[in-house]
Amino acid sequence: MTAVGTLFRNELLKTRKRLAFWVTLGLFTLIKGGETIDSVRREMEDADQVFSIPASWSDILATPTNMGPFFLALLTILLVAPEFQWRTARQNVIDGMSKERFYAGKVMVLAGLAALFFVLPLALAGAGVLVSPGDNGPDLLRSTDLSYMLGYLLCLLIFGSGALMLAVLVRSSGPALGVFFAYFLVEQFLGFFLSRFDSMRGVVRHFPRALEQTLADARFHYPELLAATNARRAQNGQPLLEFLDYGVVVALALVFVAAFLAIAFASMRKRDL
Amino acid sequence: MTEGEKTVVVETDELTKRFKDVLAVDQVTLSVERGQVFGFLGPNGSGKTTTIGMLVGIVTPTAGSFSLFGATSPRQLLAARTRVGATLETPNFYPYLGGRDNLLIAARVKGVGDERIDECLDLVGLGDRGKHKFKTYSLGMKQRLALAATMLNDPELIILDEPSNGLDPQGMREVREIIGVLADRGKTIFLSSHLLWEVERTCTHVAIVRKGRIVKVGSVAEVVGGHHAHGEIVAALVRADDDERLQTALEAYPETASLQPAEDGGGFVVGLRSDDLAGLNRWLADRGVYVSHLAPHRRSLEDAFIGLTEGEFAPMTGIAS
Repeated sequence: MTAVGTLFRNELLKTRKRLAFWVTLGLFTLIKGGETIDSVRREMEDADQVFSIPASWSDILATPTNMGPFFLALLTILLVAPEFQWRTARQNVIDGMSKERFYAGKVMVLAGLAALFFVLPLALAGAGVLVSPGDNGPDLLRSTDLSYMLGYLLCLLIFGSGALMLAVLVRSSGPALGVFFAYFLVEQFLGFFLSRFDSMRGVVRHFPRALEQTLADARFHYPELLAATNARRAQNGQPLLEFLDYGVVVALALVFVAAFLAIAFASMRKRDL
Repeated sequence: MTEGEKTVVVETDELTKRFKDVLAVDQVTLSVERGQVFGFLGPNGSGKTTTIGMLVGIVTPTAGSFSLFGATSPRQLLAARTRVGATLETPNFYPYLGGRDNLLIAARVKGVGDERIDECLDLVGLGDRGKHKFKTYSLGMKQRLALAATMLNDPELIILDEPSNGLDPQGMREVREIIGVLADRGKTIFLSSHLLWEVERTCTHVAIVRKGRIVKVGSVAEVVGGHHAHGEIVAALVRADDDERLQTALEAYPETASLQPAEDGGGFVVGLRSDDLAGLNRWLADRGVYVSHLAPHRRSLEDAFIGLTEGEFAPMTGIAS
């Protein structure tokens, strides 16, 4: 068996026998599945409540983009950090695995979970659309839908890689989760603090949580939704909603993902087990 | 195959590890040859586990070097470690997995076929508990599972850190027997322990470590027999019906180098600068002390250990040096 195959089989065994994996996944499935069933039921009862693709993609992706990254981060920390608490990471290295390969296994877990959390809501929605009475359009995906899906994937990767970094740095699931959630408050506080300085006002929009919120916002991907929002805001005398340039957001998101993974890798290599 | 490959399995050269202000391992130099059962003996916190940690790749040395089977570079060491079976401190397994699944993970890491798993579980008496979750095991069972894991790849070098921790007397005996069987099969065993009798009964060679430094290394006989304080060449256990008069007479004896009360049964262990026990007997009789017991006293590893790790034998007042 190849080294990658060995890693995959071991990580699969460890993950599929973890109760936390099934509880987290079950909860996510329950929420998204319930939402899909509700959408189908509403369309059956009221012909105006359309549940079809591509028209409903923005609704289908709204809940996962807001919840999926949190579920993924939670699960990543719960699966990775205990390897240090239980000292099984140390035992794997004693048994002959390099630290680099051990880390590669964890990146593999993250990639697998991200794929799962990405595909699962799409599959559930797809099943819902199939049984719903409404007609689907000739094009199943528009460029805006693809953009939103990419946004969701990047949200998963930002939170997942950040969680992996915290799990490797903190090495204990409880404190790592604490740091994870505390970061949101820190970023919020920083945003509040920096907004007092004209030159720094826009800086916080480039931070990881702010980027994730931008990517998770349907109005960032669907110009018609942004136009409707801004029309309302103009009527109410509110400032218009503006986002960073699409390319900048995607590039920054990828930079953060790479940085989180690199920091975790450097820590794994350097620190004693 | 080089000469080093044939005989020297583990070699360290001034191996050092510093954690910020704490010098955990201080220039440890030792050599373990093929077939030896090498005891690494020291009090808790003396740097035993850190030294082993460097050998197995989980702790990065601050200075010095080491080799396993002659391998020194990181890539060579990674390959050499496939010939090693090791467990450090407490047994480290996934608590929610069964014993068998835990060994399956270890076997895959070591590149060993599944067929070895049942064999090793049976060897440590866990054949019928393989499916039970690790977290339900007693500490003794956990230790035995750790032993099974170390043996999965039929290693040439077995490194065991405090293997008797948490075991009842029967369990300790079983571990000693397993170590004996492995040694008989020609395995090299590196055994860390603070249990003196365990090392004395099990090991052929021993290194005594104190505050990160090796203070004595050699065969068990050399380490035990070679320890003589204040120039003494023999020790004797002396008992009489009056301990007070016996002590006074022994303290006054010109050949006495050291003196300490015997552990049990009364009397004293006296270190002598000559082996003339008849002369000592005459000296005592001349002072009206008639002995009920006078015999050469074989020092144990414990005597050597205490002497080497806490200073020399307890200083006696009034002893001429």
